Amino acid sequence: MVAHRLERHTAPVRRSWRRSLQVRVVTLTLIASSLLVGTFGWFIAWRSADILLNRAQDEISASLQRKVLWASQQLTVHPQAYDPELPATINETVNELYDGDQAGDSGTVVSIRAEQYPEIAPQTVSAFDASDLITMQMIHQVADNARVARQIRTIDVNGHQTKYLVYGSPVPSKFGHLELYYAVPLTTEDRAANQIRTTVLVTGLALVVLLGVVAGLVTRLVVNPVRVAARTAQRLSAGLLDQRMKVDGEDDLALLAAAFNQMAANLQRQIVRLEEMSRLQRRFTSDVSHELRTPLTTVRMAADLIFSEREDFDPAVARSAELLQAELDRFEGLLTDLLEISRFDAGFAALDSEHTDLVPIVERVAERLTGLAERVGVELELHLPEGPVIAEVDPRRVERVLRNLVGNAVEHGEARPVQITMATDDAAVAITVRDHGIGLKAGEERLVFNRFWRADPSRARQTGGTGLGLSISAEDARLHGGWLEAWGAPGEGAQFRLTLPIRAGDRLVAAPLPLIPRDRTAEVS
Amino acid sequence: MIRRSARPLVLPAVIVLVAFLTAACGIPDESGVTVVGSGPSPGITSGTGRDPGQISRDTATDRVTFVENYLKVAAGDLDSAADRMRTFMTDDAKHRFDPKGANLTVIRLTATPLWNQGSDEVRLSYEQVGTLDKFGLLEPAAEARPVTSVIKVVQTAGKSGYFVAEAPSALLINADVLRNYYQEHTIYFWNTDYTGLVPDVRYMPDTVPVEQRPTAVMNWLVNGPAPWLSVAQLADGTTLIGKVPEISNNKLVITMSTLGLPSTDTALALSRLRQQLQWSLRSFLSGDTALVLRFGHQDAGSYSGDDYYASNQASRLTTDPDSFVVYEGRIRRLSESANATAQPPVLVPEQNKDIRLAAMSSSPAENYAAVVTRSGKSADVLRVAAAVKDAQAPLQAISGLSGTLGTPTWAIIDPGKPGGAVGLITANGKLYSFAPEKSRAQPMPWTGPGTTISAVAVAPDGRRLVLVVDNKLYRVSLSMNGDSPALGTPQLLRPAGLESVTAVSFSSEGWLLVGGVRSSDNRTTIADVSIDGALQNPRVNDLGDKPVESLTAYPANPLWPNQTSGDISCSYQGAAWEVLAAPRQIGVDRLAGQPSQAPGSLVPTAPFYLQ
Repeated sequence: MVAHRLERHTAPVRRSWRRSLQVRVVTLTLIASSLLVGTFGWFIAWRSADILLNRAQDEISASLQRKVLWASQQLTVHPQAYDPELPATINETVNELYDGDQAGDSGTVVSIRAEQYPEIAPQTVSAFDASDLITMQMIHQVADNARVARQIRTIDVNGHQTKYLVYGSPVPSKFGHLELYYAVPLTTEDRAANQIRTTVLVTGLALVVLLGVVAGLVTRLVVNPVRVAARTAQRLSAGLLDQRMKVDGEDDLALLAAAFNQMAANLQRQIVRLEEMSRLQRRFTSDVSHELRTPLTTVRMAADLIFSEREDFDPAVARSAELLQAELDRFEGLLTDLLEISRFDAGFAALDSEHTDLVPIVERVAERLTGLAERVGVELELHLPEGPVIAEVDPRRVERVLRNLVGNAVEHGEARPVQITMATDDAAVAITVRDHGIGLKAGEERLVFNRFWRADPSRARQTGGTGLGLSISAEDARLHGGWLEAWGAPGEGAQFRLTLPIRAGDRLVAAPLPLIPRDRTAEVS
Repeated sequence: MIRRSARPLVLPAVIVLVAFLTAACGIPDESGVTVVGSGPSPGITSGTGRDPGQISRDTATDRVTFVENYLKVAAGDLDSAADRMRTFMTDDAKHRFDPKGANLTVIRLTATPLWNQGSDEVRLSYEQVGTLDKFGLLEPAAEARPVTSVIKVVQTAGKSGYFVAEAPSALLINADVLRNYYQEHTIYFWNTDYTGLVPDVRYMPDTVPVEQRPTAVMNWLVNGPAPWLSVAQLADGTTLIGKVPEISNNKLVITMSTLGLPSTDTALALSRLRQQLQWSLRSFLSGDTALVLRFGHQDAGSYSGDDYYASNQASRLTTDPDSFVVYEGRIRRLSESANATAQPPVLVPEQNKDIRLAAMSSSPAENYAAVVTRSGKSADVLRVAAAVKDAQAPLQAISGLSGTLGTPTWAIIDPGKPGGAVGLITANGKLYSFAPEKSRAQPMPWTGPGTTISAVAVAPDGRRLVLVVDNKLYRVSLSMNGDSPALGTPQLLRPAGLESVTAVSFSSEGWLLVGGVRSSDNRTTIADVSIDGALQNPRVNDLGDKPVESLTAYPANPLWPNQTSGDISCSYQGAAWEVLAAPRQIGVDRLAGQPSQAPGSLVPTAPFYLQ
């Protein structure tokens, strides 16, 4: 739920990320520069604090050495720890060391302790209670291990938390050693470190923001021409071939624009040329077909006359007249098909859709081909729905397709029955034509729709087909937004399926009938 | 649109960065203990507990010894003196014991403590010598009446030894203790004219560790001179900062407050100060040890060598002085003395006649001579002469004196200046001063008790006098009030056991040679007496039954180990005597030069030294 909400909220962001190069560049620049500036800033602040602290340590250490020297010199007058004058000397020494330090009233603390001589009371001089300043660990290192040690402590001084650098050193004397502790407030160093840190932080943030703005501006400089190029390319692809980019200056983007413009010009020229050639070819086919029809009509009239008078001729001539008549029919059919094809090619084919019941059309086609079927011993079996199947189709073209398919099936039926099945659902209607002839070899399912393709060129034409029937049928099906597909297997016959949308313009998703016939499926299984 | 979509990505990064920056850098609030290095190496102790003066209560086997020990126990550290005395007392007495005054009372027993068998009381007879303060200064007592006191000494059941049950409520010490539990230590102050250093003898307890002695000496100096001296104090505000550390690397480093150095004439003031300190701390500056003076945190200088000697006139004293006597009215050298064959200095030989008494003194600038002449039956005349070394000058009379004149003496007031000397002489029981040129003698008013001044002696520094007034011994300072000398407040000194004092001389900076009559048997004796009168060593036990007429000693140089003079002469019964272990009359045979034609009854008189 949360993930979903998050996804919904971040959707615009992710869309921007995906779509905008500028967003990506600015974001990456901000992240990278934040990391870089942060690292450098941290380094500078850290080093500054380190340097300040080191300087303070050096100063205090040097001061401590002087103090230890002084104190140890003062203590040379006491050969024994039980010297009654010793506490007075310690007191004087502490005060002297403290007084020597009070130029700036800096709040230092000087303490001399004698951990190994409990009878000698610790002496501390400071402007406040500094008992918390010296830790047990410190005392242990200095008193027990006789080491010079330092420690940073923060204590409450008059209501202010104050950092102190505490140094401790053993003070040698003739009878052993005492311990001198010297604590100096790090107020100045701390303030300086904080100021440096704040400055670095503010500068770093300003730098990051500035870098982001700069990255945005620079990216805009680059992205804008790219966007213009993209828009121009979109217009070009939409067919506005005279769209060009504006070429400004001599930089890389100007080069891109110039190259783009040149590419567009070349494309435009090629496309215009190809269109022209295509147009000329179609015109040629159309023109040839039209030009042939006129003499053909004349030849036809003459041939009809001869054919009608054939009985008066010599049987051989009569036979020729019959042949002439038949070939003229075929020629006319071919010419018709060519004209039809050229109409498809020229894009002049128009669908004349109307709500039509497909059942009568199927029955009509079957009826018309019954004669041919009987001649070759093929039985046509119809499997049609009970009620009417109404679809928004061009009935003339559907009938032509079915005629072609059934004719083919009869022709290749090998005297076996041909089943014509129709089924429908909400969206589509499908009609399959199944034969049990020689079938199709693998890969021939697509080749059958090529113009003038034959499975076996040596095979004698029985129906006198032009070789364009299936091509035209495929174009008709496509014109409807439907499918025309073939299935076949050697020795198992073939099946063609025509699928059409119920409503013109709808997109087909599935067919109500399978392409591979059910009897075949049964066999396989 | 772009900004809005970029923000959610940038914001966390910035927050992380800010947190990172603020948390990870800066000076931490707390840190662990970091060991920086090993500490300085410890020093070497100078020895085990030093407490030579500690006298324990139970060492005495009888009451008299116990009481004698009781009179020693306060010696040493003044602050704990009362506590040490309490260790000798019963619990009752301890609580009652509340000594008046912070100083030790130095007494001299006039008889051994007396104890009667069966009694708890020990009877003490003593006189007060003075008080010893924490600056080692022994101030002579103003009055000296014999005191008889009783100390009740008891034994306590269950405890060995004796306890004091009743005693005078004072921090008493016997004067002999000064000899056994203290060391004389002379410190020096500049005279008021800054022409030379004036010694000031103090007593350093043996209990003070060697390491603390320079500090103690510095504290004495800072505290100021003895009241009777008329000398210059250290500059106002001079204080010692801390202690004076033990000598290391042959350096004795003394740190003083910056106020101790005047802003004008700094070099001169510094030079004076360092010479004063070098003299005062001379016993610690043996060998190559340098004195390093620091004011505040600044080194003012490091001083070694012996160029400071000259600031103390006593340092010019030699081992072999020029000795003279008066014979046949003429000043004659003694044959054993230095320059025996030379003419007496200063005097024109023709004027070396009719002399009865004489005194000569030398300074780097000039030699001075003062002679008392008497020709025929005329009155004594004081004549003086001053001449540079090896030169001669005619005698010039000093007017204004009458009656019988005593032995004159010279006080070198300014050794560097011609005429920088003042002569002193007694005449008719009065003290007069005179210049080393023709002038009138000036009477010097005497403010102390007594009327008849019979003898005067001048210390080598020229600023301290001892006088015999009504047969009593006084010490007094001499200061220059412009050109005329003036006396300070006199202090009575009481040499032990002397009924009367007749002659006196300085035998060293801190010791006098006193001739007088012993009270116990009226015999004339000569003794070394410390400048405060507390200590005394007999020199000549019994000279006879006549008083010593005059004493003259060539003082010991303070740079020598031996602090008392070996060149002492006196006039006794009209003859010159040399005071050795036994006194020896100076005969004619010891005169240098041509043997005399004078009758045998004439003997050398009025011995003196070129001081």
